[in-house]
Amino acid sequence: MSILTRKELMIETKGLSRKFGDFVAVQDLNLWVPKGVIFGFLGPNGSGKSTTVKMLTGILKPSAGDALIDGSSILSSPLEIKQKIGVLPEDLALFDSLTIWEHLSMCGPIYGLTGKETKARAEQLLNYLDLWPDRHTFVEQCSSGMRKKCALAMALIHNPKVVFLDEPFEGIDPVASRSIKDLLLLMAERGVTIFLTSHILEVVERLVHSFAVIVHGEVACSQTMEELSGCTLEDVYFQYVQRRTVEEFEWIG
Amino acid sequence: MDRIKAVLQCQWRAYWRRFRSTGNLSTNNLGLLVILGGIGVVRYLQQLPLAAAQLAKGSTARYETLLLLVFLIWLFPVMGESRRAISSRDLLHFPLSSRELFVIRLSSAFFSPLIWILVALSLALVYPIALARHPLIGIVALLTYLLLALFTSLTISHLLHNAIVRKFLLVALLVLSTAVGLLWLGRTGSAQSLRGILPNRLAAGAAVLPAPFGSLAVLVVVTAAFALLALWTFTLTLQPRQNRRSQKFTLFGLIQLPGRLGGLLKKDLRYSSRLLDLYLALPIVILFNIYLTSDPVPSMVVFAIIIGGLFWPCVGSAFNCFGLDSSLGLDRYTLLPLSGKEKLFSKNLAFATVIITLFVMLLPLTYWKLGPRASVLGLMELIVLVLAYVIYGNWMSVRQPFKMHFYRFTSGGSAVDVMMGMIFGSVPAAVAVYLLYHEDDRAFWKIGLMMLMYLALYFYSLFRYARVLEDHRETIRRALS
Repeated sequence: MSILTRKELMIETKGLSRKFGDFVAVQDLNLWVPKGVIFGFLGPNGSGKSTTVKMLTGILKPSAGDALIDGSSILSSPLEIKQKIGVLPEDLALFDSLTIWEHLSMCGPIYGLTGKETKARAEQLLNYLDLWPDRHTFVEQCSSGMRKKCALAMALIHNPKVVFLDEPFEGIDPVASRSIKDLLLLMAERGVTIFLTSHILEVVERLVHSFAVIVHGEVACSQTMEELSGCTLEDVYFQYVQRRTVEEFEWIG
Repeated sequence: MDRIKAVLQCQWRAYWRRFRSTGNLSTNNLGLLVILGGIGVVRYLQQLPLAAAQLAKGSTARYETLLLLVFLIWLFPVMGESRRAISSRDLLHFPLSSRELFVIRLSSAFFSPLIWILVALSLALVYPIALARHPLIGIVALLTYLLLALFTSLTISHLLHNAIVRKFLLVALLVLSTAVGLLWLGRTGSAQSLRGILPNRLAAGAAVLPAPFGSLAVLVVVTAAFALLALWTFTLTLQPRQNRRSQKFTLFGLIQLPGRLGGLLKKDLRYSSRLLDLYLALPIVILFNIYLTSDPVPSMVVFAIIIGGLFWPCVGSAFNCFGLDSSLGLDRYTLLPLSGKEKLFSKNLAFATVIITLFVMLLPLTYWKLGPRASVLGLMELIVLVLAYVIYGNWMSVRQPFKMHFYRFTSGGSAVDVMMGMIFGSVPAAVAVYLLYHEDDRAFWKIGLMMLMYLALYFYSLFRYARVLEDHRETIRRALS
């Protein structure tokens, strides 16, 4: 934090916490993500990654703490923030009974795009993500990968300053995965900040500039890729996250 | 059999868990619904001795009416059921045949206490038959008739899964409404001969006619046909769709609504069009148009009443405006840079669009037969009514949201609140009817004044409940999941 000025920061969380009854999902989270950086937010299932993303994107209210996105507080300026960010949520948050095209043409005007701009951008995004031939398909009829690409296109159509991607590569074929990676790298190069969660450590390792590992709702480690010094991301990850062995399954096979 | 039993046990447990989660008799004024239902039951039971006396004399009019009533009531619980925890398609992963799945489907329809009451009330019709000329044949005919009602409701609920059949059913509803209207105009002749083949007449005929087996045989054949139809349509619902469903060339695909909220409005219009209740307004529109064309001097008061009547089948969309959205859809609303006011306003706009569309169907003939003054007054009454319904609806939608399902009927909310809402919403219609009945020259200004008053109330409701919507988002989301 010391080497970063507040002006360079795009995401800053200050003691962000969320409880569900007695269960603490996220505890006193402090993160700093600079502008134009791809930031990996890693952790095992149930560690609090998605809860954090939900709080940062306004879906969940924090129990305590605050976060600033591009200088605006998630508590006091939620609408201003929503205008600036694009989100690929964990559960995609798509509407039933709308086609891929309808999702995009609905989103554009809400973010202030004209009909012409919406159409042009939607066409370009759908072509890039290989969804154009299926644009008139109802989302509930789409494969999980197609639905995810539709939600991704919705997250990007208004050219957001910050993009939150919750498991963007899960269920995506290798070609689309490569396309998405290229797109994210281009966006970061052009100053867009990307906050992503993923379980695919190999992909994250090749993509992110810095990362944090969250375990049981608390940040266990936060560093840049340069600081790895010879270790792989997987090595660092398993320093903090324990795994079980398979020997106990005597009945299998 | 064990496999069916295992699935049914799980379905039963899940059903009652969901049933209990809705609370006790004090929740959502369920107790009042029970009382009102009880009054209806008492009125029904009071009719039974009268029907019995008529049947003893060989007259079937009252018994036929009761049979028709029972048939219509049977359609609603099956088509409105929403608590089945595991759909038949979800069970396809298990080694169960189509017939086994159908048995599960059929049996699970009887989980609901509402169906138990319905079965008991239907069987109460045995009492009047006991005094008829052929009691045993009459009872067999009654049981067959009840099976016909069950299989018909199952068939329709299965058919509603298919987009093409849905359109066909819509056309059938329009044709049927028109036919009823025309027959009502004609009264006798063909109407009488058509009535002879109606199932309720066949069931009644089996109890009193000198040669009852003809009626019974026809009824049995029709019921068997509907049983097979129910099975066949059920197997169709299990088929995987061959092609991805596309809407490239449908009506909603062609409509492009302007403005920032245009996309959301289009979505909500599509959703509203999938609520079965809405289609109950179409017969009202058709019958009123028939009335306008047939009556040499149509009444403006009737027009004002009909406008009020258009709202009743649409209360679900007004009083539970987030009910057709899923919890994920609500998450998307949260992600979009929209204030609570904009979200509520887009929902209100969708409701208004539906109502205006129905009104437009009345307008050409109204303009022709009742003139421009009546059309303008009607439009003003409509606007006040829309405002009144959404004022109340905004409160209901954020305070008592509940999940509604596509292609099902909905109650619109808890009984007393819906009734209060309908009374509140209908006040402007009552005032308009009063003014028009007394041929008040200043009706135009008085309705205009009322419109301004309701507009002010609407803005208050929009601001107030938009704030509640933001504060209770999690609660609403839970109610929709």
